[in-house]
Amino acid sequence: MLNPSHSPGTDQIAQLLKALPGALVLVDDAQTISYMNPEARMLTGLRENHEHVTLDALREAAHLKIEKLPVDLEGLHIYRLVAGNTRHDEPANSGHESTQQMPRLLQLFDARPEHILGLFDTLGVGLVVLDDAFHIDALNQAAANLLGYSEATARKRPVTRIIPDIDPWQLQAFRDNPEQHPVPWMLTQGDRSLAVQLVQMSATGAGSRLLLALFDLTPYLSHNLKQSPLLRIIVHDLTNPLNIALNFAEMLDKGELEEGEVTEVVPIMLTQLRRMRDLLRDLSLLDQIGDRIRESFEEVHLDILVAMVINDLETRAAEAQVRLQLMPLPATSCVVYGNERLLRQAIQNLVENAIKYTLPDGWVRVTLRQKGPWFDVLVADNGIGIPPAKHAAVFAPFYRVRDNRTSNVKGTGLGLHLVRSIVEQHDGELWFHSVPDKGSIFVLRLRAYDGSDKKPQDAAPEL
Amino acid sequence: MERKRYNLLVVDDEEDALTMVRHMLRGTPFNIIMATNGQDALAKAQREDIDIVLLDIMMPDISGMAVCGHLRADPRLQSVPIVMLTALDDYATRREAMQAGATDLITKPVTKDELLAKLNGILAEYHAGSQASQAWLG
Repeated sequence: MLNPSHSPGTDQIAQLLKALPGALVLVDDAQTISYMNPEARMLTGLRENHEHVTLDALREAAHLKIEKLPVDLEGLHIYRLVAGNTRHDEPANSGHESTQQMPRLLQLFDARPEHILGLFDTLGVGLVVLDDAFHIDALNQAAANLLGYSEATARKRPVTRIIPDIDPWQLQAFRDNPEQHPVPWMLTQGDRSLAVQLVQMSATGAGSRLLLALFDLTPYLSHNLKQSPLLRIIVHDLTNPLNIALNFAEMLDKGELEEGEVTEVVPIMLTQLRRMRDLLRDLSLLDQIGDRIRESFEEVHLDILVAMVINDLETRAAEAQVRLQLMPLPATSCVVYGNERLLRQAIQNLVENAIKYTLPDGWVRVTLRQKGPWFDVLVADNGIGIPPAKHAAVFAPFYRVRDNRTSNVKGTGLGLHLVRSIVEQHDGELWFHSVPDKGSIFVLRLRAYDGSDKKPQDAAPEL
Repeated sequence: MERKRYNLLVVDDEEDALTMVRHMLRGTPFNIIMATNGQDALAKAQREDIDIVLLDIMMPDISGMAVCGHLRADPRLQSVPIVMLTALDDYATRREAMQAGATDLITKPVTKDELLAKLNGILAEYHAGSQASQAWLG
């Protein structure tokens, strides 16, 4: 239990929660939510102005498990949200993204390492404090567990003795040039894979202390099918269509099918093979959306992208007997900074989804509008909607709506998960409102490009 | 003497998978009765005389394991062989299937010959001495 005499303010805690893994909410004594971190907002689909809901209302509405963390902060409480849908086993953020934020947020605490250590303990992130000579000054329980040493054993020992895989030159290089933003790297400790992030604790006085933040990546790297529900689903979703296509191919090869049957069977084979192709395509896209994707960012005209997507999907909408409308685009060009292909895929997935889950004679309406420093892409439909109990799981991988009215429509189940991953990498926002039998509206929000993200070498020369 | 025919209840949420089984078992002594969900399967099992059930494990609205359990709970079906189809042949799946009352497990992808051998093998056990199944295997 952490009971500091001096509590960090709400803003500082909010900054901390923003950077840490997990869907976390900050709640006051009246059980009203005063802050939700981005992952919690994604999980619940709630926007910022909904933050004044109570925890109970959230629990009922969003089919979530809520765990209170054992941290006492003078009238503030931290809760972790977990989706009730058992398929939502994969983390929304990897340890990499969250540990990158640490240098900024740790500056917000006044050199009170005991606060930091205790708080990070409850969130499963290991912290090790190193002195000038790279000896271990302090470490929290989470770090002790990850490293396999007790606090007493590890303290005062050289870090290279406790973490043999750590490179002392990296520590020295960081010490020599603390302005350099350290990229998290991975090391092995026993049978565990850890993500490590360096943080300069203080640069005053005789020495400066270094902080090592450790995040356990092992569960996310496991290739054991039994421990990876996601992989099980992938194997299943690829095996089924393969089974069908293969068997029919064998029957054709052996001449076991009559003329009329061939006409029936070949379209089925094609459908199944396309299913496999679509799933592999989506998985490949998901794989590409890593941290390095930002290196491919450039100016993208959102208005042109939206128009292209509508154009591409007109035929599909017509086949589904759904009216696809593009509302008048803004007069000015709508430029964002990002990866054009991924953004196009994200918008396409939203519109395709809307068409899929709208009945014949329904409509899908796409709007692009500017709202201050943001561009919003709104995809609205009057389709079957999403039941409230499923709202929390909508962006989870392989989440699919099963409804008799649209049961002939087969998707990979990764569409919305991809959209969320793409939006996250673009520092955008994604949310939706949906009412069963009335329809849904999904909103994708991206920051307007103001030229400040340009790399120095890309800047246009002054004429 | 006419060869005995067996009523095979095939349960899979995928219509294309049912079509595949129908084609694979054409010309064999199996009458295919198809169901696309658990409810349908139970209804058909209660209406017809089922000799053997082929059941897909992963179905979205009600899992294959649950359907297996429900079928076993019906007194008329307690001794009917239930063969489960799965994409994953690991120990945990096998154990869960057996606990739900499955007779055996087949791992996908499965060819026509493998499927026939499995179905006939199980029927031979359950209807020991049946001339029809032995004649087919011969």
